[in-house]
Amino acid sequence: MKLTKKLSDLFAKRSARRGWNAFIIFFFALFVLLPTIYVLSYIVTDWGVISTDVLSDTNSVDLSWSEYTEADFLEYEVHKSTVSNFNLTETTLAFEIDNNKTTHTVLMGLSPSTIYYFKIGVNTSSRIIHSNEVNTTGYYETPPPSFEIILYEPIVTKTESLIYHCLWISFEIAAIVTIIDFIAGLPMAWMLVRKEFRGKRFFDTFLDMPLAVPTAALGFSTALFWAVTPGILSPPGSLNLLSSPMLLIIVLHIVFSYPYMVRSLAAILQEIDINYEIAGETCGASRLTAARTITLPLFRAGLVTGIILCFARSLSETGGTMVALATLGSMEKTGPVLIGTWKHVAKYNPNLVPALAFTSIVLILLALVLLVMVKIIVTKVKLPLKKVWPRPEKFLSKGLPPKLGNLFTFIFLLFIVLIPSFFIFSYVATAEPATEIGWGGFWSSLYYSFLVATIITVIDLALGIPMAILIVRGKSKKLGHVLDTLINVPLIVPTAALGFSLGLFWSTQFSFLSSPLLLIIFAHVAFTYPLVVRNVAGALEETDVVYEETARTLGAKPIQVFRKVMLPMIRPSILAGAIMAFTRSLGETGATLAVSPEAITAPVYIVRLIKDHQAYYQAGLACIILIAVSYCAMLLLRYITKKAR
Amino acid sequence: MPEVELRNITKRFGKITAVEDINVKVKDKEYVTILGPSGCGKTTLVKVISGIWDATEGEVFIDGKRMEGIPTYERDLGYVFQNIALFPHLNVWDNVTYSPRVKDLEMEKLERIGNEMLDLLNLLKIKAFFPNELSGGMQQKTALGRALSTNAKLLLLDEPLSALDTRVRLELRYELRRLVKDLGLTAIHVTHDQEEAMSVSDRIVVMKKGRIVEIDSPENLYKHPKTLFTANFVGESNFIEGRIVKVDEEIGDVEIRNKLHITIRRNGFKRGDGVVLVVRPENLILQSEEAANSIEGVITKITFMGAYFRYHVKLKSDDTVMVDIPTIYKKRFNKNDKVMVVFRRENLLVYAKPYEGLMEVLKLE
Repeated sequence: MKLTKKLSDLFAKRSARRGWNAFIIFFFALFVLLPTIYVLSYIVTDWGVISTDVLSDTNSVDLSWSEYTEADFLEYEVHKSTVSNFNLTETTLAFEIDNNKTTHTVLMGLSPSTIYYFKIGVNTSSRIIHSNEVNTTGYYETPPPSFEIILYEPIVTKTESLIYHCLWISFEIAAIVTIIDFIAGLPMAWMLVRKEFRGKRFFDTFLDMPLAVPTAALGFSTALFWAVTPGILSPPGSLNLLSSPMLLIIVLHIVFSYPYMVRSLAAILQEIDINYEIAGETCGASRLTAARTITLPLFRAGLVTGIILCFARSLSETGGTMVALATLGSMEKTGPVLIGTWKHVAKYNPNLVPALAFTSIVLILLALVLLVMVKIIVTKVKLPLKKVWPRPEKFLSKGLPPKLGNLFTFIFLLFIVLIPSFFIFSYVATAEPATEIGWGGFWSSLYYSFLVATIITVIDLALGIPMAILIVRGKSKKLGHVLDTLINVPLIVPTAALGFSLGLFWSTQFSFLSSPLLLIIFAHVAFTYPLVVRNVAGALEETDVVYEETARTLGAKPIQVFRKVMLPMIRPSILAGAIMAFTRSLGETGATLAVSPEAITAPVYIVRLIKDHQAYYQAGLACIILIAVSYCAMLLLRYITKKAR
Repeated sequence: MPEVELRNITKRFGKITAVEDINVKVKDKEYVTILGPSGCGKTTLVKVISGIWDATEGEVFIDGKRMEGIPTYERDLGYVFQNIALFPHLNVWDNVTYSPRVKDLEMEKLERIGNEMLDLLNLLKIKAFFPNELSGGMQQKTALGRALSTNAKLLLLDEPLSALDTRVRLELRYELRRLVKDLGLTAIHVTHDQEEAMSVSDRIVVMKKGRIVEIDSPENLYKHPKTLFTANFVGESNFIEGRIVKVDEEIGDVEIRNKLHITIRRNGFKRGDGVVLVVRPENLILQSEEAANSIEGVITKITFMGAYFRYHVKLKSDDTVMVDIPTIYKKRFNKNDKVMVVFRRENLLVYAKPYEGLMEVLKLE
């Protein structure tokens, strides 16, 4: 009691409040904004390396080999030479790998005109083993079984075009996903806001369910449902339909971005007075005409939110995409997957850092440019509103067509979003139980994930709510506006690029801070912080400042106004923000991989199970546990915030 | 020619009944007001007529045609909203020409209608303005233009004036009636403001708790309300409860509280009947001298209302009555003055004492 009184007196002082606000801005700048875009500084400081290693005409080669499983393992040695049948020496050694599970690596900066030869050596406590030799000519002969370590056929690509290819795929997928989300999401939002029907509440709840499922689990579940997979991965009900990695990633990304689109569209629709539409109808506009010429234009500003959220989500998703691609057995990569993979390799081969930096920079810049473009396009470009087609629109407004539309929406939700999300249950229920790898690793990864998610939720709330207050209620409108724009930056930046940038920032600028756990926490704060701030700021904008003013005229001090008046009114949004931050952190893979390959969170562990060990059953079970646990966490969070009342 | 008929209309929302068993017939070119306190179901009625909502039971006929299954946009009507609901992204011109546009009329026709409408409403000067740049009155005028440009002969007005300032409200009232009469429209106007209803309508439908109380011309409703509710809701009235103790050829004698007596014109009531006497404040007379058919009282409150003084007089019968005396009368009274309140028999309305009690009947909700 005494402490609260002291605090309350302290905050009654203007200087104290100023100091606090300055601290909040400082925190945001140093811990969120700067690390997020730090990698851009690479353009200035290390452009030389990027242009020689990445942009000049050089190749990269992907090597993978069979795992050495004996206990006397010390390290793998990756050897490179320009002569064939070379012997392993100090001069041919490119780098060493001290983890026998890491059986994949990438070498860069290879001249296309030279033929390179590669061998893997294994150092054990007693001897040195070497693998067969491969080269970049494209000729590969399966080695005789006498080799203990087999080096598989290398994949040679032009580094620059590989980067562009992966980024292009990412943007292409994000664009397609956003368009599909919009087309299918609009009628759903419409139904939720403007229609009353039986079971609407269930609908409402179902819609959010995929959000609580970590994307790694979603990726596995969706791939099991849709993809053409070998028999053991085809539980009853599996469609076995898609063999194209592009299509699979698109359906996967729709699963988790669709709820975002519907939620943001529904939120705007709620704001738009239904009388406008009715007024249109009384003027003789059919339902469709009225919706198109009146409600849709009023939508615009808010439409940007939905589009950007979906686009950014799709652009940055890593874990689920990795899992889905691995389940399909595809080598295709999206931008973030490329970053995640390379970052893992870069631990042993630091030559990859310029390429990683370049990929991240392009991803970040393109995402930011796109944000601005979408904003301009949606707000400036005129939709064809003046023209009206009374007859066809009238036809589509009555009777069967709208019913068919609703049916289609419902089917979309069921088959594209809900069933794929939870299809994993069908797999686990029918698959042959198998435990290839102990459970210990999973439990510790789960603990790790929860630790991180809890810590970042607390940090986000403690420092995000004051930020929201500063943005909405701050004295300076200009400052609020600037902060409001900046806060969106980490939301747009794909998390893999964000993670890489952040890791770079902390390890180069403050290397004493760069323990994996701390880095993961910083990274997760960076991309979840805006979620809390956005939610709370939105709620604050909605609540009338008059209540706070009334409290102040009654003699309440700033802290009391906050606790007794503001807090109870914005509590639902705080809860929503907290749940979003918590679940996003729990499900995040891209940033985690890109910050530190050593941090094994639960989604990363699941990705590894599938990608590196093909331990599908165990991965499935792990997914279900993760889903169940995050549900419980959500319920708990809800319970706690309710009780705090 | 639009005649509107409602037959046995009932509208329920779940367990709540908004309106029940409504029967009304609005004649062609008639200006009818639906008047009632808020929550009485009057807005529900226009929404049912316009097709925004479907009736739970009963039928709507417009122009003799059954409207079941016909959506709003095919009912051929104009609708003016309480919250105005001008399209915020369109300017005045685009708002007013919205209807011709969605009906895909030719450009010349569209422009002709738009110009006529703006001219009629005196809005030509502001045609490029957006709704948020206009005053409330201008906005509602524009909304009216938008509704009229449908060329429909039936105009529905849902509390069109209640969002506006008093002054603007008064002006627009006359404008509304003038337009409806000039254009030969049938208008159904919903309001809770009895003054507004009286000044614009040919007939008023008084509603209470989802039911129609009575339908009549404004003058009749004011002078001879058929119910106590109307007497209270349309204009102001004094209510005095009593019992008939004597009836002769011409007059009846009503005993009110404290054994005081007021005489009334003879009517259908018999000796022993409980009655409520109703008299408008402007129909009572105050004087210092004794007079026939008067009750003594003390002035407890005086309010200056501009055109008249309103005196609150506590009668010896413990009833308090309001008396309005025009300001031009020389004679003034002061607080605590002893006065005689004179009841003129021709101005006294007599109602049977309601079974549920007077207060219950007068209640608005």
